[in-house]
Amino acid sequence: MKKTGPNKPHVVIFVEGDTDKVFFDRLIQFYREHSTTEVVSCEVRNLRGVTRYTNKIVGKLQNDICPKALKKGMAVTAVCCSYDTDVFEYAERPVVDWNKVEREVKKLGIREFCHVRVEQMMEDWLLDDMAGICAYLKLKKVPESLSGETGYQKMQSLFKRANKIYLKGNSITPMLATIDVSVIRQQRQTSLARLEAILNVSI
Amino acid sequence: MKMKNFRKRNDLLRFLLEITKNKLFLRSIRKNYDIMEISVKKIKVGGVTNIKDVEIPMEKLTALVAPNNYGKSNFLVAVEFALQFMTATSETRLSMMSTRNLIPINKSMEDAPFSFEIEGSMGDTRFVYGFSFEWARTNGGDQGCRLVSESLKLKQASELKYKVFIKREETERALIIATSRGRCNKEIVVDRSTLVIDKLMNMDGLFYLDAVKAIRSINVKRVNTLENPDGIFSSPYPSAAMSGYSVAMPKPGEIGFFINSLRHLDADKYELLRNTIVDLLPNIEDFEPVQVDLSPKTDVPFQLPNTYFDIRVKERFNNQYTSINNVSTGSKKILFVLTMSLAASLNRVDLLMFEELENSVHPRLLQNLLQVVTELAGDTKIITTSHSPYLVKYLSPDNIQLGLPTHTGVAEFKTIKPSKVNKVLRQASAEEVSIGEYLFDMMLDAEADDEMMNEYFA
Repeated sequence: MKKTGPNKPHVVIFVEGDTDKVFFDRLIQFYREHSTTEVVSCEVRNLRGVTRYTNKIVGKLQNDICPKALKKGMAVTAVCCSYDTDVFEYAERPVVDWNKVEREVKKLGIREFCHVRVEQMMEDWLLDDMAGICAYLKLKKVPESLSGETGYQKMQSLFKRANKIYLKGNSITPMLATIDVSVIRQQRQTSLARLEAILNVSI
Repeated sequence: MKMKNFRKRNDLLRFLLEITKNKLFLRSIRKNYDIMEISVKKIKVGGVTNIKDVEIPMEKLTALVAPNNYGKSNFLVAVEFALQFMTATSETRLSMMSTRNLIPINKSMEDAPFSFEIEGSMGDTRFVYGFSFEWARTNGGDQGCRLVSESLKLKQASELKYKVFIKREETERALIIATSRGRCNKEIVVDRSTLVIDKLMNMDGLFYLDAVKAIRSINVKRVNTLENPDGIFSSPYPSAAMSGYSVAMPKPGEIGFFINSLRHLDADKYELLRNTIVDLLPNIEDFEPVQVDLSPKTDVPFQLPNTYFDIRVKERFNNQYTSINNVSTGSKKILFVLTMSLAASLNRVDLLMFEELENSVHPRLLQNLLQVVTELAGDTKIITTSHSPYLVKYLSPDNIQLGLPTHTGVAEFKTIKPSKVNKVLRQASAEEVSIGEYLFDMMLDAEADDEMMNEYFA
């Protein structure tokens, strides 16, 4: 017999690159493990850059995410876009027109649109747990300060101490195994508050 | 009367202050520049192939972007040529001034002399050095082949104006500063193929000799990534230089030898290179250089070198190590580019020039490749030619030099005016295309639109 009644909510988090994708996947896993309330169904989608941002989001929602959710008895109720507020040296340049993105997303009947602003860049967030990164790099001593102006440069200088080069995307997957996501969440509560409310997270 | 005296005293004080500043500056340029890094800020080249007058500011990574057959590679070749010319013997210079494939044959610049100017810094001192020569001629009895100008200007970073140290405006006569208190009025005699800096190298007590030496030793390397990479790692005829260990800048066929030497001479840098390659290329799990001794030395009149170098690579899905020659062309090229970047840093190369860095590299790897190349190269500046919007989209617009169409067929590289960068980014954003795609379109549109050229490019 076919199920009737309202569909369950489903949330989509769009990210710009591999680093953010790995981090948000890990964060969602953390929410599921630690929330005292049931976390809303959620998926993280990587747009791999900012080029054709609106078209990509609309295309993916319309042709892939929404129909699949519907088949599972769910409806996409919220879209969250995560982005670094600063760009690193070799980032793609065009700026995204967030008003346009929001307008187009809402045209699809999706009620909620929220931004997760990563201040200044994902590396700044990851460095909140410097001890975890040092453990991954097998550095015996956690440095008190790092050279560099941006999170990316600081991460680079930390990696150099272990004779490594920090690569956006590639370096984060193995590193996250030793990083304590709760430390980052604690430090970045303001930026994550709206997302956690949408996901019904309660820790 | 009092007022007059006051003015005189003030003038005197100003004069004395000027002398003191001058002395301090002149003393400061006596430092030993052999141990100083040179940072190249700008290179200007003209009168060569189809390059009439091109000036390229050098950033940490600069890209020359233009259609095929435009003049990107010509610029790199001309820079390499000019620096070789600076250290060549007089005899070699005479033959260099007849280099057929570099003599301009474009109608609008057929009489143009070759000109070169390099601007940079060493410590707190800024320098501008340049020279020009007439190419060989086959008409009118005048054979050309002569230096026609040369100049050297130096200043402290804090100073506004340069001071002229070498001034040559004709072939056989030049003026120089000979003593720290002197002016640029000491005449010296030179000939058609002698640079003034050659003469200065023999003046032991010259107070700015170290600066001249440093300029003469500016180290530029051109890396041709368009070549088939098969012969890059090992050579069937290893040179005599490939004995023992050396991390000197490797030539084609010496990459295996270089990496093997690096492992023995600088374990940290070897580990850095190894970690970087393994992190960047997920298909490579491990690699190590190997040295193969083919046969024991025998008592023969001439013993061919019998030591060869290879790199053993363990690919993720293979059940054994293989020679680097079995790895894909793209992976080989990346390994080559990364090794050259690290070698440039170790050998204090001032400028590393790549031909189409993106060649054989998947677009998804380009962002990380740019990151890694600049990190490994350290203080070495990098310039690359490129045809790829995928590469360009990761660069800041002010680091991109676009080859714009001209009505005469000469190469002209321009960059987006700083005041227009945000507008271009907004327009690219409105069209939802990458900055790379947008700039490529602009480059093509500019052909029929002089107004656009003037509005956006400088």
